[in-house]
Amino acid sequence: MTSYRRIDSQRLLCPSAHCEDGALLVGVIGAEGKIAYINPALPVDKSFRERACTGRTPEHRFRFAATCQESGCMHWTGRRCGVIDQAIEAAEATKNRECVSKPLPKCGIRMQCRWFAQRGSDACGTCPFLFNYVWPDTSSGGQSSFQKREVQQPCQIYQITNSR
Amino acid sequence: MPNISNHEFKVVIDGFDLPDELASRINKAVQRAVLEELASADLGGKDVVFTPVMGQMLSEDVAKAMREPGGSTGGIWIRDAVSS
Repeated sequence: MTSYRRIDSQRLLCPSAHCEDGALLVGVIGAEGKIAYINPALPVDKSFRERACTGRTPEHRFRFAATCQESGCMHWTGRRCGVIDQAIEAAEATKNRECVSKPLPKCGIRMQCRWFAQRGSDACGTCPFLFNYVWPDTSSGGQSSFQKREVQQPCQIYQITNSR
Repeated sequence: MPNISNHEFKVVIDGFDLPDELASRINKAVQRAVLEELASADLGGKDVVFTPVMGQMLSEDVAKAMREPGGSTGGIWIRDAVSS
């Protein structure tokens, strides 16, 4: 049983990864913060990354997928990804009816998606409303940053994440 | 039901067979062209816009930070758990 899980989970993709070589471009974030999916998901290369990094933070404009890091990610709760559980709870708290709308989005990675593997179609209903966001200024404790709507930050901010 | 735009980019070559390898290369080239053009796309303008779900998650994150100093995730994002 353990080996089956390991083989299977190695193939699972995090649908909210960083813009980096080898990641997959799975969607574009629209004007209202909702994802428009790209099918098939397209592999990100150096050329895309360089061009994308000349504008606003790519993770605020696009959604990327890459191999789930499981215990290498701070959102891993030991057996599962905490982000999608938190997102579905948030959707229920906001009573967002769009999150249960059908049909499901035309996502290019569904069968390999960590979130779908965990929560099935509930994940797919909530997924379009999420993107990778980091507080621009962690020293402020987050609150003032949350209220600040315009965020300017270099792409490199995502490369300092090896140290907590 | 909202009216949702659907863009599909394709080239039809009708009337003769292409070798599979060439068809695959052309297909990849078309996808690469789409990727390259999308790289400069910014549909959200200058602002980060949060949907109600994102807003709820982020406000919970702020609340957590206020309850437990250092407890915030620093946003909703994926980061390595490797300690320094």
